[in-house]
Amino acid sequence: MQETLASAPTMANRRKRVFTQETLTSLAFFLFLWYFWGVRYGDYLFAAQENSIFLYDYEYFSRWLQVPEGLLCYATSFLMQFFYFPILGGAILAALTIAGQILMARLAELKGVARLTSFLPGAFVAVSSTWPAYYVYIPYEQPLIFSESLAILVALGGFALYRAFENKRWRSLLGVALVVVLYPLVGFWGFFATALCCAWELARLLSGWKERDVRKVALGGVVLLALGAILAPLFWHWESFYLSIKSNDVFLRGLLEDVRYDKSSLVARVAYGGAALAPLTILIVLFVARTIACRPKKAPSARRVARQEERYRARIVAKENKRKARENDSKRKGKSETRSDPLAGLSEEEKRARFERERERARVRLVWELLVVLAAFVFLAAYHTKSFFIVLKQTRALAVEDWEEILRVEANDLFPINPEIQMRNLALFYTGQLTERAFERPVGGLATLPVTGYDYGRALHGNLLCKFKVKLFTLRRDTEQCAERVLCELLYCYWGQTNIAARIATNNLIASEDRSASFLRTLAIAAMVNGEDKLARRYLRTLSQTLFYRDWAAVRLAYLETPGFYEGVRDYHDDEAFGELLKKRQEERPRAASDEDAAKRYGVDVDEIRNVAATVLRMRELRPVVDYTTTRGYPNLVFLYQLAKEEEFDESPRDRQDIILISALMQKKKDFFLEHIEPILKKEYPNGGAPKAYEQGYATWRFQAFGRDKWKDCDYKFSPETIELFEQFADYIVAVQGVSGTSSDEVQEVLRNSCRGMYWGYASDESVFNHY
Amino acid sequence: MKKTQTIKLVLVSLSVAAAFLASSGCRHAAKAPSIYDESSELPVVYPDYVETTFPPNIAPANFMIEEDAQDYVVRLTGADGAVVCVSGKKAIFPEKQWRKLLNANRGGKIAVDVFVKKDGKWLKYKTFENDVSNDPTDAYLAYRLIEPGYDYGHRIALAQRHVENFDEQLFFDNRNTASSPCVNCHSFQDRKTDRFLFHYRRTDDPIHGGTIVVNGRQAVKLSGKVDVDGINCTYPSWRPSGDLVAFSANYTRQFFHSLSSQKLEVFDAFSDLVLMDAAKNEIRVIAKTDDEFETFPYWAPDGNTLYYCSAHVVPNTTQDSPEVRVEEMVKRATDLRYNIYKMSFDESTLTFGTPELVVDAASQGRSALFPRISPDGKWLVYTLAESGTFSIWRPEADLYLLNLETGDVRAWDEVNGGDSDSYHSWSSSGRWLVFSSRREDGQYTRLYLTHVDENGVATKPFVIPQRDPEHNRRRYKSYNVPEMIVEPIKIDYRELVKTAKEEPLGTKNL
Repeated sequence: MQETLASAPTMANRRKRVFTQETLTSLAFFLFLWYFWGVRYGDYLFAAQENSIFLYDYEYFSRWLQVPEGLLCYATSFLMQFFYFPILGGAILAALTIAGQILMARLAELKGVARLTSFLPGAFVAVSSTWPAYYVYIPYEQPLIFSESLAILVALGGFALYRAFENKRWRSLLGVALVVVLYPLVGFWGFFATALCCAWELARLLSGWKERDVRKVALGGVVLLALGAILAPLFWHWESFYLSIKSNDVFLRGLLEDVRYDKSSLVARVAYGGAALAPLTILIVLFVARTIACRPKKAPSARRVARQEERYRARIVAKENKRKARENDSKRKGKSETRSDPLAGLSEEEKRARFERERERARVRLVWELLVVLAAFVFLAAYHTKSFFIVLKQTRALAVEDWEEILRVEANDLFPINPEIQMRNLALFYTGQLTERAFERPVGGLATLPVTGYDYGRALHGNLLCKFKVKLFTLRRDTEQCAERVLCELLYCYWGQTNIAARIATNNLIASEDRSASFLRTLAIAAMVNGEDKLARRYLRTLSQTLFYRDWAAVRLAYLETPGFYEGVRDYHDDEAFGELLKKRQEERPRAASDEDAAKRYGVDVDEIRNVAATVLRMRELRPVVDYTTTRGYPNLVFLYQLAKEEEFDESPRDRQDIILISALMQKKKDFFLEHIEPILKKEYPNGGAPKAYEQGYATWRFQAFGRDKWKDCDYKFSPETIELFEQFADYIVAVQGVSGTSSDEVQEVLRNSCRGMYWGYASDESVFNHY
Repeated sequence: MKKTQTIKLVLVSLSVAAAFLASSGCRHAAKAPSIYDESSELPVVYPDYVETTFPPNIAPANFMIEEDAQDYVVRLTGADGAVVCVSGKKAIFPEKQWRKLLNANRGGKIAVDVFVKKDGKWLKYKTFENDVSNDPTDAYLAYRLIEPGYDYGHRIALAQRHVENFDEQLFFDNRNTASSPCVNCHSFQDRKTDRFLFHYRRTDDPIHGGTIVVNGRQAVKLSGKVDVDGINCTYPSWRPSGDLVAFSANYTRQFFHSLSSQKLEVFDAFSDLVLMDAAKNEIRVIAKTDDEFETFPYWAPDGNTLYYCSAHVVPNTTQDSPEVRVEEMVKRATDLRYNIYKMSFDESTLTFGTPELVVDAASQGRSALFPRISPDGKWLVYTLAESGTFSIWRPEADLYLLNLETGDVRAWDEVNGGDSDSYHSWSSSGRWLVFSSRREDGQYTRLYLTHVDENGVATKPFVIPQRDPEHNRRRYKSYNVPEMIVEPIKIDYRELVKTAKEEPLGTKNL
């Protein structure tokens, strides 16, 4: 009896247990968010930080201050630079979210199940921050995507500070200060903070906690705050809104200021407009929850108590019996035991204590179950296709020129989409495997189907969740279309198309308000390849002021000083004046005596400089041989097509010739391919053994031109493997003749699975290319 | 700790942080070291303010020392012995002291000593001197801020800069309108701001496109449509007095090079000259020829002569199918070579005389652009490029000086740099010339100022000073179409925004 009483819940140990539960739930959600951000969306965070930048100088700071929410974006940018290490970034985001959650729970005095509502803002922020999907690569103000986590904390902090002031005059002053200071600094979230203060004052007023005169002051404070909340933004935007004041703009503009170019788009409306409305949602949630939490508890009806007690009794009995059964099992195996009522013999008080304990356990269990549901909701609502995550991984690998990683990641996807294949082709080239493995995958290069026609359809028909999401928001279609633009400027750059790369990167840099490490990096690379050292230095100087790109920039800055920097710079087409100018520049520029000297000046490893030099040289070799003109706008991502300038084939280095030939295969330029491949096979592979793409591409054309019997009758010795594959294919064609055409999907599939290079080479139907 | 104490602590911390931020830009006077080694080399500073000439009313020429050291001191010494001394890698001179120093040394020199501390020892670089001219420059500059970009015009702003300090104000920003249109070609009447104009257009919004003409504190938007060509008025020049504005009407397009340091080519598919009466909103054609591409008109200071550029081209296509013409001109863009001509003007009859050749560049296989006459009518400065109409994208473009009295012409070598030197504008006194140049990196134009004496000899140009010397390196925007003006813009910025949003008044073609 003594023992039972001791274990009964007292006020002290209950508080302790609740505290432990609260801490545990927060900790669990922190761990979940850490995993969500740091692991699941780690590459997403990395991509976001690549498209933002944080500089340690006053000018950068002051530029941010010129826009509403500027300080918030500045602070978020500061944090975002640590997303370079996604685990760290995940921890930061999770910590901010949980800090906001704890603050919210405390301010609203949320207990028990009601406390779960304080997890909602973090959950919504997680979902809304990942919805932009491929837009994470598109020039936006990236900090805006993540600023809500910080903003909630700032707003709640302002509110907490306000509440801490007991003196009503000081409090009124602080309220006005919050309006005046927070709005310019954190935009809409300033209004949110003041709205919280207003609502709190109102709640106090209505509950009649204070005397009549205090009510007057409080009412005055509310009016003042409300006026301030309206007037401060008006004042701030007076210049801009003088002519067309729209009430919704006044508050939304802050958030949308820097995404205004696309503010009419669905993505902007959903991702940013939704985020702008989030505070209102949180406000409602907060006060509804608080109201519920603070509502005086009604005494439950006798019938309800009886039902509850019956339920708890059943649980206790079941649990007790289970325990006893376990004990019996261990003591007397096989012998049955009489089940008894464990509550029998206990006093009413003791029974109530047991019931109370069981109620507490049920509540805790409910909290945990709801938390799991919430986590599952976050996970599922933030759904993206596998391709999306693969593209994220590939782009991260591309940023550090990890070609093997690009290939490895892409190999795991059975249905690679356009950007995956584009990056794969590039990686194949830089690892010297393009001519061998160019056609291993189902799509690629010119013939790559747009993701919206492939992955989108798959999502619609194959994945219920995706289908649901697409149907509801049509957001995915919009964003997936952006996959075409993912790092396209950098890819162009690596293909040697530096002028196109610079054009797109400049456009993107403009759109990102010059705050993007990724675009600056591409521009620096393009300038280096072009031999424009002064221009490269400008971009590199900016990057060298960052925390995590400074080493990257230092190596390149050192490379600019090396004696070999101008090696292989392609002359300026046929314009002698440009050529002369370039030479003059080269001669004028003081250089380091050697690579080692340059490395010493910048404190970098000389091998790193040489690696950079090797890559740059390769890219220079890929530059066009003759100048040709392109029109404005975004070209599609048909890199190899862009490179396939037939007229410059003979003048190009061997590497570039390979690319042109592969491109010709992809484009089904039969005559061109045959014209050039035959001499190459004859000269370089007189005894056979050409790369698979060449051999099977050549075989395909011959097969098509001369038929099954004569296709092998040429000087080139086809490998037994190719001969066997084509024989099999011929058998297959005979088998399916009359059933389906040779360009049907099925035949294409067989070709793809059996023969490298045949796939694109065989089909004569050009319609697949029409949309390009 | 009590709650109130915590709050106080937070507030105090915030105040300290705010005070720190506010004071972060402040510099304190320094003292030059007395013991040092001397170097025979000149210091490397950015911007290059070494041995140049400043107007007496220019803002402090702050610069940074391009060298890593433990400490830095820069000392300015006037002829009267007055000293301004600052410390830090960035030499930022107090405005009052700078102004005092310049005024005290008008027509004289200021010696600049740069000290750097390395390994605990001070090193003094070779002293250099900068001249202070007696001639002040016009106090304001108007220019367009635009990314040196390609096909996006996300943010384009027209700005004015007070060159006597660092104030830069945007007097029109395309962000304040709905569709972020292109804003271009501002032109002032006789360097005053009572009357000026600029275009406001967007291809996909033909309804709101037009030319905003400012008259005092009022503005009006005119369509500026030239019926005969079906295109709009483009490059303007206000006649120094009256309501007349000469325009070229250009069908301008661009394309991109895949291999060239000149990444972009802007060209005209056809162009003609027109005269607009801005008060009556009327246009009359000056020159309408199919085989002459006239452009860049500019009035002589007396308003009785119109200078302009023209390229002789015999197109194989007609203007009736502009896009076909564009295709042809894409291939022939680099064959376009412009000469400079002039025509007399009779104000009473609004008629022009016969064109006279002023600069024959085409016969030398080159292209002469942007004729600008000095206020005294003696000098004509123009840009000479290999070909084409848009010299800003031509790295070899240089400024040339023609003496209109003697006909002598020369490359302005003392002014030209290693990259595109292009758009230029005289000050009202004719003693200063501002021009845009890409010499810094080949991509981003910056504004340079040079003093021109009565013999046409210019001093070493210097980039317009900025408060933070690194500002020009950080700013990823070009300074475009600089025009010197003698007074600030008077019209209310909101009036311009309001006008921009209105539909334009249809311009009557006579």
